[in-house]
Amino acid sequence: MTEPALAHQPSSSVSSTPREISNVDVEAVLRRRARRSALLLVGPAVLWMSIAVVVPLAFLAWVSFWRLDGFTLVHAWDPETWDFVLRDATFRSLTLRTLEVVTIVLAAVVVVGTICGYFLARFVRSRTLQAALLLLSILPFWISYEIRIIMWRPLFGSDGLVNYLVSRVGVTSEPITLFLYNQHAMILAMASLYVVFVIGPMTWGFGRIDREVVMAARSLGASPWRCFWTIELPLAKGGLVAGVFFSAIFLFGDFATERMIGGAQSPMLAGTIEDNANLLQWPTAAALAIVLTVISLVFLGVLMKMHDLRQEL
Amino acid sequence: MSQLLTRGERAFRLLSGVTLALVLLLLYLPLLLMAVLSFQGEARTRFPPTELTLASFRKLFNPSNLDLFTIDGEPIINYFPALRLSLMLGLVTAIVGTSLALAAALGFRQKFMGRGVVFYAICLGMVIPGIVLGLGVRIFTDTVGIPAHWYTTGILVHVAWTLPFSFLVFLIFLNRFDRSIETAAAVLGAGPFTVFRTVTLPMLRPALLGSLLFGFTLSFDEMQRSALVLGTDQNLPRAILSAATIRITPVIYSIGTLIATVSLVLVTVYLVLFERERSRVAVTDAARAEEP
Repeated sequence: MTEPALAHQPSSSVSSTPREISNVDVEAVLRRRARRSALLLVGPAVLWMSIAVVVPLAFLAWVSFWRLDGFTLVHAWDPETWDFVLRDATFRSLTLRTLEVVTIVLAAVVVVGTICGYFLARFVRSRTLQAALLLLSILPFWISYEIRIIMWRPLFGSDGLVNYLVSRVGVTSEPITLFLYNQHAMILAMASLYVVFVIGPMTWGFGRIDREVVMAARSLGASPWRCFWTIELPLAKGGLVAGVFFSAIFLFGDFATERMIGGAQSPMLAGTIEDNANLLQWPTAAALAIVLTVISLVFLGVLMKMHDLRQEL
Repeated sequence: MSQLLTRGERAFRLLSGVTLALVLLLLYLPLLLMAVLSFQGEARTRFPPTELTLASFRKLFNPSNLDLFTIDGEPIINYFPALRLSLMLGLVTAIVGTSLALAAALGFRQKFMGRGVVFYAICLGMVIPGIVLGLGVRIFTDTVGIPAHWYTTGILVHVAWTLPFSFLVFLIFLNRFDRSIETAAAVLGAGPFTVFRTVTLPMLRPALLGSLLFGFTLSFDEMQRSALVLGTDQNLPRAILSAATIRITPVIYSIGTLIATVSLVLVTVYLVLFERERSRVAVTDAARAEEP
């Protein structure tokens, strides 16, 4: 955008300024202008993110060393909270449970999302049908998350469809509680919430693979199974990493699913942070928040090491 | 290859098709059931519905008419202040986030020092767990003495959440953008601002719409970050969840059904328009490629 202005100026100013503008000068000026306009354009967003994210995060780390006197925060340099959080068996099991649930849910959405994405990209021949099915698989993302949690009840609640069918068949007179207020229910609900993030990228990942490559491998004698593991899945890695990345972003901070469907029986980090914040236990909440942040950033970092998503931009 | 499937491949095709069907069932059956149950008259949300009435919608739209609430212990909640707040917050967030993200993405077309760090700083708002971001902003603003409202900490946090998504949308578009068109306009004498207004912006229209839609939806549905930063203001997700914690009634299903329907229709319309625009661009590209 800055090039044209310069291209014009010399013609009008050449007569008034006898000094010759060399090519080197022009390039240097251009570079400087480009850099200045870039900084002006990027500046506001950086300022906003600094105030809203970087500063509060740094502050959080600091507060985790403060002390609570009654309900008022006292500026101090007191490692007591950290001592408590890192030594206490409850908090350790909290972290382990969080990791366990996140791992199981991500594994489930990866397997199911890969299978669905493969089906859409490879086996649905009609373009229109493919687009329609893909649209159906990703649309639920736009339904509010809390509505999707509440929707669980009409299907799996004690008054819901599943229990109605079970009671009609007459297996049991008591409502079955397999799908509500327990860990399996929570994991199934989370998987259904987040699988929509994986199906789309996987369909795109498999869809952009050149069919000739697969055909070449097949004609050289590779089995479909071998083709999938050695050619198709590695080539679709970008889609896989993108899907896991976005599921994980939502999953690490999710506490409402645990409350509403998991029955808050075995709490995880996100929910415990919120509990502590509501009880005004700021230093503990801050320390746990730092733990959760480190875990999720390390996880996302490892993911980016597997496949740098920036090259897909 | 698709014509000559081995027996294993045919089996896998069946299996994967069934998997997709099950996933779609798990995604849409609850929606359908919720819609059906929202027409139920009783306070209990038992399946199957015994009578189909508009009672819960009437309660939803007339929360001040106490005569409608005839069932013992039924919570009477007016969702409209929360809905209005969510709409307003979503709108402001979408516009502010989109403007900041568009500017930043345009800046990223140039190389500058610290480009990598800035990229990660912008994306940090998206990757920090929601509850952590909310907690950090809450403690920070509490300490410096800024009261928590939707128009203070609320907008701050919501924009921090949606801006990275909008930023990525614009980056994806701009990286596939033919800059020679801008150069052509500039060579013909258009100033930088005219080039932006008449060339860059119209070409970015799908991305602009996408970013606004993304920003609005992410903010409208925001729960994890909003839990701690809205103060006494309540957005719709919080209102619905706190009502559901007390008791789930057909009224909750009716507002859920209404909102789900409106969002699905809006997004479908957008995606169909987007696809049409894209195929039009693809056709012109193909036509251009055919020219010698």
